[in-house]
Amino acid sequence: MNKFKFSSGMHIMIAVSALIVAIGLAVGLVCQFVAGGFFNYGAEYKSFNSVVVDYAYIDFPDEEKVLEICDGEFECAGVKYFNSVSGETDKGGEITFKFEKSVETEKLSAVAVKIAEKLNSGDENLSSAYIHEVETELGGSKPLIFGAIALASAAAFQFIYFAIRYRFSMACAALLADVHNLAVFTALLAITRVPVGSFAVAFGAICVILTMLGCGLIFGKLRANLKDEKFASLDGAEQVDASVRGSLMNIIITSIFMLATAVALIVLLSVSSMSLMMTLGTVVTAVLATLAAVYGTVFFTPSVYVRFARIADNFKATDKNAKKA
Amino acid sequence: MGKIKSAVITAILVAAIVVMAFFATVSFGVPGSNGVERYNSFMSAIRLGGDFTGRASAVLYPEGVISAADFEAGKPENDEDKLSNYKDKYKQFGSVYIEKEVLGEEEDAAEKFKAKVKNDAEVISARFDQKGYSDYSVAVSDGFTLRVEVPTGFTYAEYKDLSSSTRSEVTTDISRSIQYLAYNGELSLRNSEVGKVNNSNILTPITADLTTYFKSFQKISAAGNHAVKVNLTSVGREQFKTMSAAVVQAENDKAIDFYVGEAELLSLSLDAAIDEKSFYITVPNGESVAQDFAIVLNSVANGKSVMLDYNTDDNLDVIYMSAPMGGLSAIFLMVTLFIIVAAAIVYSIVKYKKLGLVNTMMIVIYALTMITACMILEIEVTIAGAFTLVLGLALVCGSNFALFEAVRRETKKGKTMQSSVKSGYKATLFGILELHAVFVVAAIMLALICVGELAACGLIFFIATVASYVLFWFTRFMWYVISSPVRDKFKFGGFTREELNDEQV
Repeated sequence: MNKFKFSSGMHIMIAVSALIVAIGLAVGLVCQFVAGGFFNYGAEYKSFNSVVVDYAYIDFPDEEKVLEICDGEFECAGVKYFNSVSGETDKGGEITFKFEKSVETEKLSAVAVKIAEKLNSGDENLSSAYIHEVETELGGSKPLIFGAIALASAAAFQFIYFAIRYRFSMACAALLADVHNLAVFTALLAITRVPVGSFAVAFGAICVILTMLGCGLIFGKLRANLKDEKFASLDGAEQVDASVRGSLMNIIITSIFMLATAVALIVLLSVSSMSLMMTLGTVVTAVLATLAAVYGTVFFTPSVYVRFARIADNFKATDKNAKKA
Repeated sequence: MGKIKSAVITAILVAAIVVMAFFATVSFGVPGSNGVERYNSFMSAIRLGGDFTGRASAVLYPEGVISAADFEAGKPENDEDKLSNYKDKYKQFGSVYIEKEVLGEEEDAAEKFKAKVKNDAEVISARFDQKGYSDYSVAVSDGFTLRVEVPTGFTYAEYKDLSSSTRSEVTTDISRSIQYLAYNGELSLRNSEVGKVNNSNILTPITADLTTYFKSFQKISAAGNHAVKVNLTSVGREQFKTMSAAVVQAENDKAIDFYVGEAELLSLSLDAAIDEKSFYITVPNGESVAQDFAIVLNSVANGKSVMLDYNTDDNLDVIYMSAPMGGLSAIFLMVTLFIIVAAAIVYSIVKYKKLGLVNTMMIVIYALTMITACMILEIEVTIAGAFTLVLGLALVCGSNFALFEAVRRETKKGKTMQSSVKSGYKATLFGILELHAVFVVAAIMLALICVGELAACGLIFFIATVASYVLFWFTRFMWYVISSPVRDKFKFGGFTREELNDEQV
């Protein structure tokens, strides 16, 4: 990495980013019409069919037995649930199996009848199983709107602060980095089709915060280095490259912290839930947020900033010449 | 600093950390209480998101709608006529049965009923939106019922029923919230004496539009007391002046009661007529109830009323579901965080030798600070919240590593350790300060503007950033204290002093 030129290849970086965003947009739009949503919405935003099984503790003191019966029937019918949770009722227990909306309701109704028959094999019919069609398209817009307002306010604050404390061109590059990284993150969510829940908004915020951290480190380093005369005499691109190299370790350490957490959570929570799919969505979202932040901060921002700095320098030079003339 | 002074300060701090860490992480039965009393560690008293401690779920049935299970259970036995009448009374729609009388005889009665349920779902969803849950869902189930799901926000101790009293407080609050937020009907102000000339003791004229009376209702909590603050418009102020003057003259009932539908929410006792822009009404049943009442009153005062009666007063069954990520997910989350902390500690010690121990101390203090803050402030920790905690840890370590590297650069210039530390701090100070300042503002914005999970992440990050900056300075103090008795201060931090030749000098 010692000789890697982060600031070169702006066109390549813009092309890569534009490609990611374009693919994300295309996949999202196609899915909007074909698969019922721009994103693959998580359980709290997605409509689903459910089979709710109520049983009495007198008949089934152990929930495992009920689960075994239900799983057997689901397997026979060739249907697979994506989530199951259990709870206690007045009489005993209740298990809710959630299925994708695409699973036929007739099939599920037939399975529910069979489950009820098997559970009620005794004299009294204390257990029941019914299918429910749940339309969940409500709520959820508020976190997104408020999150967007908060992030926009934070980015605006960062822009003003950088413009005053550092340079206007640095402030512009940092603002662009925030927007770019968030766009890449959103596009990656659309492309990978990971379930998007309320946590995705939180990870969007984490992505922006990581970008702020990265930009702060790079531009802080650049400003500190500029006090050195030898450094100041270097070409603008070389200055940026040296500053990125100088702050790279801190950016990588932060990212490794996040990625290590994601990997550990994938492993441990998958063991806990006995399902990789259950944890994958949330944790992959964290990985995507981190990758988008690192890619944008380390590769996209320096190359864009160098152009911004050149434009600013040219503008200054022109202004100076005009004044002289 | 002398050896003894250094050893004493270090020993006191380490002892404090060990004691704090013990109480923060270890739960145990209190000795001598025969296993009745239990001490729950700080960690097991942190509120966790729905993925780790499950969600509370309730199905709201409009009046006249029953589940298929209830329909089966209610069938009269051994009487064919009664059974026939019973069956005739209801019409089946999938897994629910609706009384034909309630449904009506129109051809599109079912569709109209469904439209009302959908409208109610939107109104109730908007009410839950204001509760600040990390996530929630109000869904239409089978077209005719509402399914409400909210995170329980249990602590690990409550989830595992190791803290029964606080668990029952939480479940009571959740049941009440679902009950109150589903209240149907319009807002009315009543008094049994002054209003008795009108239907249902209503004080205001039938033609009056109450939505013009109120600006907003707010929950206010101070010193353990909870109230709803009523903010009036100028029209409302005039009306309240007139109404309250009349109510004060009453013989026995000197209160203005706030009703939503047929449910009384608040009662404003009067000694004198009210001529204020706003006033407070005390709510005796706790903060959550005050918040629920303020939300419902805000909703109805803005014309957003629930149309159907969901009978939540009599038969609301709230089921507390298991954690979707498994019963051990909370434990595994903590294990993950411990692994990350351990990795940071190992890296520090490997790279910076004994100076790494100083950083270790900061990491542990950071971890304890966050555990304590999350517990005291009752912040609900979700997966995103856990990542925010890790981000804060990265900030603590990143700040210290940047400092250590700056000092290393100074030592390579041939400076003494004391001079290197001074120059290192000077070189990194502004950068670190600026970074923390930007983060504090970003965290405050997230915490104040956002709701739910994101607001919790903002609050966590705010505390983490402040802790990180304080620990950045505390590192210097502890570096000085611990390294004082050490003879080779360069070796202490794994640094090497560059010997300058004559030309360089």
